[in-house]
Amino acid sequence: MSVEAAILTLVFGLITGFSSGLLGVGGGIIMVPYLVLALGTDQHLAQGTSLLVIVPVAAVGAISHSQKGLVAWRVVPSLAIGGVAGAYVGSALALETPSGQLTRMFAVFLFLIGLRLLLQRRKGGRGSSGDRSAGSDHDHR
Amino acid sequence: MVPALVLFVHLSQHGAHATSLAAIAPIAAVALVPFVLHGETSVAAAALLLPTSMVGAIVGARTMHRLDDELLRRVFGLVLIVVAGSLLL
Repeated sequence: MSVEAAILTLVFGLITGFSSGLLGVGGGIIMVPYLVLALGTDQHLAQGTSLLVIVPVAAVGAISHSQKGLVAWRVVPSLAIGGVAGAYVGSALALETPSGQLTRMFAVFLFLIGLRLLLQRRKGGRGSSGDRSAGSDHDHR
Repeated sequence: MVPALVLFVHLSQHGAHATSLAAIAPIAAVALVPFVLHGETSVAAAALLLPTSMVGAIVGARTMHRLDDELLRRVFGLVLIVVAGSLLL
């Protein structure tokens, strides 16, 4: 790795960690594209490296949030157990899927979620559709 | 995970981001195992990413505490679309 690439990687670490703490994501959505697009890393190696960084970074971010009382700890065990099972199967599948195909599947998945969040009406907004507003309508009756 | 926590568990956007991170640490640790076994981890890149990303995580968390819920959701949605676009192009 060249000196320029090393410096860029340090800077990207900062961006990744910031995004992780701010957005509640592992940082894979930032780190994997960086490793693949900027450093030319193979998709599998990028995902493995990203996971290696995510473990301590997520732990640090979660501790910071929990000091503000924002972590819903009652949900964490079931999320972690379900997530661990899904992650193990997902990792095994990822290693068997060709890199290019994996990148496109990942991108389409992110795009659909992003669109949904951006276009979603303000929660509890009049006339909005979705589980939450259906629930709150019911509560008012 | 964040959208699911907001939609189905009815956490606030802030609560969803915080709870998601707390669950991601153990999930990522398990997901990492097969990659390590296949030699698909770059320790050199990880060593560069780690120190600054941990500092970034603390700064990011503190920034989140200052944003309102609506803005936080839109920022989250926008970031996903930008990342998806950059991967597809």
